[in-house]
Amino acid sequence: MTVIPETGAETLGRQESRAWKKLKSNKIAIFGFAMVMFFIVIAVLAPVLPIADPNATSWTAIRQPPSAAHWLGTDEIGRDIFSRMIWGAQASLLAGVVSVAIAVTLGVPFGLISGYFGGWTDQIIQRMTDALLAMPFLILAIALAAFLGPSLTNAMIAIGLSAMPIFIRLTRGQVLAVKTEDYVEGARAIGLSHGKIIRRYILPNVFPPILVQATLTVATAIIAEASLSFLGLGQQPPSPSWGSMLNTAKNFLSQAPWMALWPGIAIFMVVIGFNLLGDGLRDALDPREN
Amino acid sequence: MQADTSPDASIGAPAEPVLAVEDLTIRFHGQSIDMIDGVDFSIEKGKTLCLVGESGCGKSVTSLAAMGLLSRKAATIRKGAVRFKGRELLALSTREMEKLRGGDMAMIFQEPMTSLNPVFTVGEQVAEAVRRHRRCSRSEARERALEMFRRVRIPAPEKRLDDYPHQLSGGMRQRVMIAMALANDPALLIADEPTTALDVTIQAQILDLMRELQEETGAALLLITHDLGVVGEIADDVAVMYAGRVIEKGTVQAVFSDPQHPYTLGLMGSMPSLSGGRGRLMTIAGSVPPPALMPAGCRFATRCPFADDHCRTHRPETTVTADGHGFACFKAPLEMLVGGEAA
Repeated sequence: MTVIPETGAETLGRQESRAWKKLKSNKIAIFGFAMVMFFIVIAVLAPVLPIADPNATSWTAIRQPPSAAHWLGTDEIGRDIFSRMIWGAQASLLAGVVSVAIAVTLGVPFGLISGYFGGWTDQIIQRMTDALLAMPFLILAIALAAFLGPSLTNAMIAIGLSAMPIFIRLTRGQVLAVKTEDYVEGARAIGLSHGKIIRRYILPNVFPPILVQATLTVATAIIAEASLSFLGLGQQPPSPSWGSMLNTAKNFLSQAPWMALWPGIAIFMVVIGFNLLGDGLRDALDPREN
Repeated sequence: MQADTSPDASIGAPAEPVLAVEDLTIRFHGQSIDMIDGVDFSIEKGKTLCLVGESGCGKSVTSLAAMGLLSRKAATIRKGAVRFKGRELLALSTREMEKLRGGDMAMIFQEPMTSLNPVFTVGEQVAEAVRRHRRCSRSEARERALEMFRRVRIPAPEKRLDDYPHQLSGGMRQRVMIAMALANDPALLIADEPTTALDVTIQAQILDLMRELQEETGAALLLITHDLGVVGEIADDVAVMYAGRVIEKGTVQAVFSDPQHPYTLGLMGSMPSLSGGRGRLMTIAGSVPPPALMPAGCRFATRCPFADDHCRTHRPETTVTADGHGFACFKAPLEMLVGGEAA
């Protein structure tokens, strides 16, 4: 009796370790993963790190280049850029992850229903998706953010809603391919309900492309958050975000180029990290590949 | 529990068929004729009925309709009945049908390579079928899956449980499908060309296995095939379908030794045999007419060497002899027409 639950747990372990092993053997993906983890750790540890107050101004240290006192220099009102970068990582990563979570939790169920049941449901969902997709992603996000009012939370909602139609489309397309598979009919033949088939047979089989798209969209969302903050629609002053730092920095490009350099590099790195990780996950999670 | 009021186990009473299909008539949307036209057959406990016919004759549609798996968007069941242990299936709700499927009636498909979910291990999938129809824990379901793997003779079953479908060969996957279908001791197993996708040696193994398991469990088996060799090997009864109608049915001995319908005769003649003559195989001239050109009478009339105007305009009713051999042909018995040729 005691042996059986153990083997059950082992099964689960095996499955996880297979994907993990494949991911581990992919050096580029691990590099991307390390980059992402690096920023996540920094963002999480921001409150306990021994760094300067990101909002403390100093009239004696305005627009100073990198030095021993201010590793990455200071901005136009003397705030420590190193400290603001670390606190800004929180806003950027949060915006990226939360907005994609919104897009996935709304978009994937719509896509599943649309693709699986077809007919009128599909028509209605797809025409609405068409309407959303007709507007460029960033324009839509800006419009929504402006409508909701400027704040980081609203920016995340706006970005999430703007990214949602991509997930509806992607999921629906995958479902259309998967639902004609023999194993779905097989699932009907063992008496499973539509709901259970969607959860156990359709979703896991359409999941890998969605995960990859989600990882790539995190990168896009981080850029979108930066853009919204750059336009003053995201993170509100004095709280730091990489986008709003760039926004200020553009006024001092010739006098204090480091002000723009660090947030630019950070955005670039975290976006690359998520992209590499996404590609690696795609390969690792495909059970059909050996 | 509550539905089992049928007197199926009462001793002395005439055996009620496990599955009885009566006058089943199905039309696909946008078509002018019935794809399945008045199909009749029944299977008793422990017996095997082979549904034979060429591709597109409606064998699979009939079996899907019996399982309640026919898409309502694609086709309508215009009339007829499908009775499972005396219960009318066509009247059941979706939920009641789901309870039956995979429990008391199970199905095996043609393509073992694609009939399993690639993202779960085969053990999980068999356990899932068990848990759908029984109240039991995960470990009990897994134990049952293991037991079924042993019964379908999968080597090293403990290890295979944790394999993904892509790690198994076609024959092994079909064994898994059989294990999954039989896991809940069904009274009826429908197998839609279960060996077509497998190579010949594996075909024989799977057929042997199915026959043995059927003897063990006493399940009724509806086997759909176009391979008369398979029929001869495994069937008790056979029903021959042509263009959506059952044109001849009876015991294998009766139909094989004394075919009454020209189409059945043609099928027999087109089957190669090791012991038979050296001459060319017989062929049936022409092909199945498209729906628009289907004759109003006997659907085989366009290809039948014996057809006359009466055949083309009148539908032949099924004549049943005393030993249960039924055939739908105006020209039967054919011996009169073909003389010694048929023998």
